[in-house]
Amino acid sequence: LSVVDFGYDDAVVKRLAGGLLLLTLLSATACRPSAPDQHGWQSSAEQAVTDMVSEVATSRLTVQQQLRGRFVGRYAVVVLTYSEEAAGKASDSVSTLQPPPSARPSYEGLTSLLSDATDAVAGARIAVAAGDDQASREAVADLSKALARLRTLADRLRAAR
Amino acid sequence: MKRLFAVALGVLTAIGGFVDIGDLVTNAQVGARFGLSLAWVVLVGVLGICVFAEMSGRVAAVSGRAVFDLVRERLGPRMGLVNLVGSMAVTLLTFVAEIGGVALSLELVSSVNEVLLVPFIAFLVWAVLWRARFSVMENVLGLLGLALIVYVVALWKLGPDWSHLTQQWLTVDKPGDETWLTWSYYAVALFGAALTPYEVFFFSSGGIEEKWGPKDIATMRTNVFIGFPLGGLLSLAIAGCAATALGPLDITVDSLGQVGLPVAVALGKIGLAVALVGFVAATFGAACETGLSVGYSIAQYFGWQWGKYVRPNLAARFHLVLVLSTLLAVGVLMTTVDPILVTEASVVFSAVALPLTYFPILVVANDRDYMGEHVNGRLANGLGTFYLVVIVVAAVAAVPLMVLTGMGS
Repeated sequence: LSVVDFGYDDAVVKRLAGGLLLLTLLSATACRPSAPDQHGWQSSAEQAVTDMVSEVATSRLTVQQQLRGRFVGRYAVVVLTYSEEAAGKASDSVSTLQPPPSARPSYEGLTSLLSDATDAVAGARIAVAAGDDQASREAVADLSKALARLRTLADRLRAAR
Repeated sequence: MKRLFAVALGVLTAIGGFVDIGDLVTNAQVGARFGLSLAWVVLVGVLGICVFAEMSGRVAAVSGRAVFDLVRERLGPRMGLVNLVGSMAVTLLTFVAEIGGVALSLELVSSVNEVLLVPFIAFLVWAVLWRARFSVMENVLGLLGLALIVYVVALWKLGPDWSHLTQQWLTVDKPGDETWLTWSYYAVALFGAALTPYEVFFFSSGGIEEKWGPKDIATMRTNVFIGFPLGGLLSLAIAGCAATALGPLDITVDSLGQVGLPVAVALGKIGLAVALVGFVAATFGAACETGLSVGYSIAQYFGWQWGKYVRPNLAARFHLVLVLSTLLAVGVLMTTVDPILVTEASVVFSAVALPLTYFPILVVANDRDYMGEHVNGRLANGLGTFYLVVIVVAAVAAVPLMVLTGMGS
């Protein structure tokens, strides 16, 4: 029995089928929360940790230089504000994903590390904006700790690739 | 003596005006991630912009006609229009990025949110385009842009391992944790940052504004072949500073503040203040040049009166384009889009759009009817053809690389 018997053109049926397939694919990939497979998860986690390392390292360098009086005006605060925003984005990029079953055991450790690192960057911004040198020195110590943990995790993720 | 002064001034403004937001951001990004393993792209790009600018400058000086006037004539109105739309889309994107760059630079000084600064900066850019004399605009901003020489001093003060930097450069030593795909994406971005189409529109149209003739070709060549390579040195110094101060700490550049960090580390407050003057001058100067380039190109294509030497009431449509493009840039930036993201896109699409204007200029520079005795010689043709191939390869590869690498992430 041909589709022509129903008064439809083959091309129209093909287009409709294609459209339906596209709709199904779109709705499957556009579901919230986004649920990547193991490879996608691994790649997102690695990217988030790399981005976070960069922001924490930027913040630590900025606070260290601020303590040495090497910035003009509010330069350090602006740099830290941008780092804080970027750190928040890096953290959200993983915490809003649905981890695949195999990644669930490590999910909490990863998201809490990213969240701690974001807090450390925010703490640094608060200390520098307040002009509090003692708090800034403590912030450098917190950032160094976060950075060491992040680097260890980054190496582990790279090794598991 | 007066002529020597004019040549020196031209060279200095060419150096100071070479770097824009695309060069600042892309060179710092590449330096921090890849060290100097992509420095050869800057050299290829700088020689490319010299070849392109020299040809278009020579065409302007001999024929008295600017790029889009010739594009329309050589390609016909229909293909010319396609060319105009493609080139203008990229130039507008660059215009948005430059105004955003000025806002980011001033935000670093004032800590006022860049979005709030955008309307004031756009008004200032428009006021300069409307009122300031061409030579004043070009010379003042170009000379202030020389402040970016602070990066050369900072690099020397940072005391990098020169042998390691040289080895990275000469052996194209890509860091082990980066893929060749990402490396290639940044090679195209760096090439697009060095060879931006607006620079040539501005350069050749400026030549018409300043009434260049065949006798000015020597001066024009001096500006191009001395000024641009020295400007390229500033790009390399920015990359070198990022490679020395940021790369070892695993810092990847995603904000303009990070671009200034190596200078603060090396030279402290005074160095940073000088770098900030350079940021503002370079981005503001480039904003004026891109804004004018949009007006120049559209007016040239449609055969309207154009230019800053023509009274505004006689070039009303040209000035209307300047107003509309400035408003469009404000509108885009007020959506809170990240100017750094716009910059990254603009340098890649610059690479895509380059063949649109490069090819017609190469054809005209080879046409004895237009150029007479100043037609391309063997060297100009050899280099011109080599760069045509390079430009086409970069244009074809740009978008697939951008998609495959997720914009180099």
